[in-house]
Amino acid sequence: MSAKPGSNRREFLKKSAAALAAPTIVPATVFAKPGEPAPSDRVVVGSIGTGDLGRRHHLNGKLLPNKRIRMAAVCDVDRNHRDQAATDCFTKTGKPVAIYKDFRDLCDRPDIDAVLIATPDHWHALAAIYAMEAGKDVYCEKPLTLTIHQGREMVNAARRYGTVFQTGSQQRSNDRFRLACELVRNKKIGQLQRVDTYINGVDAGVWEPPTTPPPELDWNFWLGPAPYADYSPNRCHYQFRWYSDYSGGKMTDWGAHHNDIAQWGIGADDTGPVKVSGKGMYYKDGPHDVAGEFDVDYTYAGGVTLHCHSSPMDHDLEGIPLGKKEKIKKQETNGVLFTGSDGWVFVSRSMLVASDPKLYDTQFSSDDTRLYVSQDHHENWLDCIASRQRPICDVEIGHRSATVCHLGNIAMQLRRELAWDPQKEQFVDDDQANLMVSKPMRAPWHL
Amino acid sequence: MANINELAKQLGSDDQIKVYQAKQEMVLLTAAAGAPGKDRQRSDMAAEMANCLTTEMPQKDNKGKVSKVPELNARGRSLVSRYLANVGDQSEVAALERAMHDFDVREMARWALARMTCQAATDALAKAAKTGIGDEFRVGAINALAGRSGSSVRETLVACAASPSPEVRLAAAEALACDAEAANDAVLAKVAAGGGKRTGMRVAKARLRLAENLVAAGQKQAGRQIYQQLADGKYDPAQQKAAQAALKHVG
Repeated sequence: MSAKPGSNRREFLKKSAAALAAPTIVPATVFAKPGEPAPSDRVVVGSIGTGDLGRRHHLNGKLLPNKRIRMAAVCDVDRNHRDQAATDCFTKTGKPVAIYKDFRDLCDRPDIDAVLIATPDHWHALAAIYAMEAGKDVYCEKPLTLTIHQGREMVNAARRYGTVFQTGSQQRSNDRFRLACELVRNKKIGQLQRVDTYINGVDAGVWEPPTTPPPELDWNFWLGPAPYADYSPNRCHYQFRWYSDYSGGKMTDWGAHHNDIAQWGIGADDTGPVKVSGKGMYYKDGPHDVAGEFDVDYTYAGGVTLHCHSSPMDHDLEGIPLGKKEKIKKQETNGVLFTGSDGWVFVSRSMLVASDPKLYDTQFSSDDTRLYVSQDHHENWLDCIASRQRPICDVEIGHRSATVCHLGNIAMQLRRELAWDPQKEQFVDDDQANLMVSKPMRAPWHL
Repeated sequence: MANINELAKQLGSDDQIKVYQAKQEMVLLTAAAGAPGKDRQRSDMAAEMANCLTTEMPQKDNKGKVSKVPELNARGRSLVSRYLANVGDQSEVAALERAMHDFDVREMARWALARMTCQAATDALAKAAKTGIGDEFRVGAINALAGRSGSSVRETLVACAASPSPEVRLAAAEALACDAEAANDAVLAKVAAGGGKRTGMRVAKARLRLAENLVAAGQKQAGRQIYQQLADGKYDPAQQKAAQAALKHVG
């Protein structure tokens, strides 16, 4: 029996010693099929949160098609979600998976190596920390957290247990975003002066009267640590993003993507801004109680500023995108614009545009700062599970990026400029703001 | 100047939109009142809000007996408690403590005290942990004590760690792990001994955290001792592995 060094996590030495001692006839199933990993090299995964994103994007889009993964279990507090996810697993693999309502039961299984968490934001910290304490590696959707304090606790748990923890900020596994940040980090646009992120806003939502939760949903469990609220359909299942008890609105939903790229370009993955102020428009009649529109300004030590907008660019972006020949001219609504002393770079999921198209041909030297290369966020996670290296969006990175977003929301709610100490992770001289670094949890939950 | 009493009544409304609007107004007002240098404003607003929690009115029952009941309904008092946490200090703790006697309001009153950092809030939570009705409520108060300092905290948690209720015992053990006090390990060990496999697992996780806190507080020897026991003993592999890694790091 052969194995690549570091590729088999589960007691390989024990098994190989036993195999050597055993008779020489070894079952064929032990060996991998051509082009596929051996069954013992597969990462056994449990999926926690199998609503739309968990099921459509992760389970069906990434986990089930991946030969390096064996799905063992699914978990959701909505019976329809978990049963449908289990059906998907059986349909695609022919093998049944265990079905759980309580993530703790899934995590307590010793045969599960890793979990993917795609629950609403207010559940990320509790589920992730429990999983890490159970010895599982974790992939957790962005935004990593509901509060700054939760992020630090998640980092602490990851370090305590040696967890390979990937935050789902998958833009970092995209060549275009990496190139943009490498251009910035290597001063190809001169000294970086400002970053603008465009992330769109959210509408007011529609009121629905409180009603009895549907029989398939354990509403009390769905609420978990959040304050009690009566059920209405538009409060959960995707719409949770727009209620501050469960999420941080567009600021965290898309801010976790583009402010994360801003942090990458600035080179602030282990720190953050030192000042934040913002204007948020909150709908007069609700029900969405997050900022509908906003402009938030951050200052980093060293003088670089970050401006996070819900509105589109107030000017036309003019330039020739990477891979194209014709100039484009339009107002952008979603993306990251880095402006330096000698030029600019704009990057989004659909394009990279620079002030000088020659920047696309930049040949980086060995003296240049090269950023972490990942071609696929889930593959990177699996690679790191094997190698025990930190993945491209390690938990600290996810925490710092989410913190930028939380700082923005806090500044908007308090309507005043705030000074932030990124080393102590506290506001300077503002007790009230410091209360908002964390949130109490509804009993019996705690970090 | 906003009429806090009217806003509080609006928080208790059956009209969702009116409640929402009152919440938004409360967020604005408490943010302004709680800004640095606005101590008088903060204190005045907090006092008015506390007053909303405690104001009573006479009510006659169907036998003609008159008793005093809160003027503001339970929903209103829950939400006032929530926003009081943004501006309250020790002067408002008594009102929140009183609210904790109402089953329909106590969770939010406890939540508010959990957010307040003054000693009076700590003492109120300690009292709720010891004498509150219902395990879940007591567990909430115990959770809120984790990481707080003061003699009432440790004394309360140690007492709760001996509770007949397994959930209360476990919550107390987990809260004691947040305090860098070497003697807490013996309490945790006792909680583990009194429970089954799941209790043992939860306490092992708590002991790992305790060890980490001890080392961080400069009590390396005490931390190392716990790590060694976890590394050597019959604990689940995740705790053993973490303890072994920590031992290498502590040296």
